[in-house]
Parts: sequence; C-alpha cells; structure tokens
Amino acid sequence: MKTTLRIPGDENWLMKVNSNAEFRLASRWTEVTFVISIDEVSYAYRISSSSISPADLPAEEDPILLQGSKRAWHRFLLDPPPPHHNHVLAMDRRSADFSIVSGRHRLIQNLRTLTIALDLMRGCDLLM
Amino acid sequence: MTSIEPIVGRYMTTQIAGRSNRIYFEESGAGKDILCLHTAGADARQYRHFQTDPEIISRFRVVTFDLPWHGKSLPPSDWWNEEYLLSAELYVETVMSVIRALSLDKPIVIGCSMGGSVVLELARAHADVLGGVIGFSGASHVEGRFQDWSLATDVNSNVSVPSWTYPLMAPQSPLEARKDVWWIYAQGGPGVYRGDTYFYSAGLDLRGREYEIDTARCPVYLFTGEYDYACSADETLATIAAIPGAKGGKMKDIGHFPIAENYPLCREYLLPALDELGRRDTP
Repeated sequence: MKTTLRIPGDENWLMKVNSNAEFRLASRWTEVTFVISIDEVSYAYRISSSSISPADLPAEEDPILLQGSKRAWHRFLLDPPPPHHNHVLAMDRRSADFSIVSGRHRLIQNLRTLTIALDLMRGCDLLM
Repeated sequence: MTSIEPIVGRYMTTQIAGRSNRIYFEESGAGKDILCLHTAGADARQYRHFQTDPEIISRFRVVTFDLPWHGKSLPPSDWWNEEYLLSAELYVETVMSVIRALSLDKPIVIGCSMGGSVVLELARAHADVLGGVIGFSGASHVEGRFQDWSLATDVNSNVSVPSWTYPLMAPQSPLEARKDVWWIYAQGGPGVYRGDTYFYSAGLDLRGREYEIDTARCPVYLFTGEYDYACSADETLATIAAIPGAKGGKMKDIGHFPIAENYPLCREYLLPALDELGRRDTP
C-alpha cells in the first residue's frame, strides 16, 4: 500500500470541518485517527479535541480503514450522493468496491463525529 | 404564540403474553381505525406528522403506541433480570393485545422497519381482524441488523445508535426531520434497539411462505425508499412479487424512515393506499 499524507485539495474540507458548529460540539472529547484509502493510495486524518488535521498513518493494528475504489469515492462525494453511496456504512453494506476493512468498533464509537466530517467532504472539490 | 395539537395521550394496563404491561398510547382524529407501529429502538413520536395531518384525521382515528420497553411504556416488572429480545410471537401478540384492549375495529396497521415486516406476519395470521396493512422498509426477511456492539461497555449507545441509523435516511430529507429521528433514537433504553433488531433480522423469515398471505382478506402494501440499505427497495419489491395481490413499490429520494424523515413525500405514497383501503368499507 503506497502512502500519501493528504488528499489533494483538502484545505477547504478541513477548514469547513473545523468551523462547523455541530462538529466542534460533538467532537470535544474525540481522539481518533482514520484512514481513507482510494484505490491503492491511503490518507490519514486525526480528530482531536474538536479539530481535524492530516496525520501519519496510524501504527495500531486495527485502524479505521475506509477502502474504496475511485468510483465509489466519487459517487460518495456527489451532492446529493446516489442511493447507497451517502455514507461509508451504506457503501460497505451495498457496494462491491467499498469496504470498512478494519477499525469497525472504533468507527462505531466515533460515528457521529466521523459522519459529520465525511459528509462535509462534499462540495470541496477534493481531487480524488 | 401557542398551538395545541390534536393528539391526546393516555396509559392503559393490559396483559400481554401473561404479563401485565402499562402501555402509553395516543389518539387523534375520528373515523376508520389506523394503528401505527414505530421502528426498532424508537417510539411513536415518529408518527407526529401523520397524527396531525388534517386530511388524515378528518377521516381516520389514528392510534399510536409505544411498545413495552420503549418511550413512555416502561418495561414489565423484573425487566432488570432478563435480556430484551423481541420475538415474532411476542411482537404479534403485543400488537393484537393493543387492538383488543382498545377495541379497534378492523384497523389498518401501518408499520415501519421492524413494523414494516411484522405487518406481513399480522396479515398472514390475523387477516380477518385487520382492515389491511401498509409496511415501510420491510420484507419477508432482512439480514444483518442484529449486532451486539450497542451493549459494549466502551460504546456510548446514546450517540452511536442514532448515528448508526441516521445514514439510513436520504440526504434530501429535511434536516430538521432527520435530526428528530436521531434524537428519538438517542433516548432508547440500553439494549432495546439491539433486542428489536433481533426480531427484524433473526426473528422473522417468511421467505417461501409469502403465498400464505391472503390479500383478498387483508390487503398488503409495501414501500421502501431507494436510500434504504438495511432493507433495500429491491428486497421489498421481491417480497411484493412473492405475495399474490400485494401492492407498493420503491420510493424515490427517501430512506428507511419515510413517515418520519420526509412526511410530505411519504404522503404521496401513503394516501393513495389509505384511500384504497378506506374504500373497502364503503358499500
């Protein structure tokens, strides 16, 4: 698996998340790193005390790893996204080219803040 | 400015499968009886828009209730010594007990999610005491919703359970309504959502038995939103195809909680079904 630190064009997305009122409230006690993997390329982000920022790939054995094809992620980013592509749980359940590979328990623990952060990816011109 | 809605809530105590249960129920409107079933881990607040729809309550008496363990219906005594797992038998008996206790006259039963599936068993086993069933987000069998994580000691189920069900709704549905659904789920008791999904995914399987449902005695309508990934619209369509005479279909731009997440859109599918069922009683 090749590694890259940041999704190209993620500045707008990170700014949007960090200024979102619900995210800031909901993530006050959140400490979680998650990995977005698009085809063979992985990007890590960390949410810590109401802030999201790029991160190094986590060393833990069971990171939250959201792995999908470029096609799957492109459909997720559409506004509105098509059916069964509006959330990683939907894609994991119904898309053959997307999987929550690991970290499912941590994902569920942090589902509210991760949902907010991922939903805010839409409309940010992320170059996936 | 104060406005008071036409919903009146009361409590009754009735026997369900040999146990005394104190049930909270609500009524609005007058006319043909309708009984509404809420979703797993939630309560009858999901029907608030339906219960106050002027066109509906001018023709129908809408009754909703909170299942035992949900909302304002406390669990039966000794609940702290048992695991809550909703079986098909108990769920059906609970619904029938409410119908008998309130003397509902051949009610139309509307259910969503687990309620949208149990209506099939109600139609199969109690056709002659019902006026028809309308199920949202249900099918002969729904896989994969019964999971243990909500009881893990390191999971805040007040937040994780509503966040788990939130993505089942369409992004087009009004934000305020989706947040209402989230809030209702945030107030479920520990293990209750899990126990209900035991019925939804493990307790009911009518595959291969759909022919036992006689839609001439009890009409069946099933609808599922295209964004629903718990019970997909295709799974509901397959169930409709397997039940001779069943009607319904896929709903566009809506998810798993049609009547709560986008009532105006849901109404476009619900009202024609109710109109047809209402005409059955007209000589």
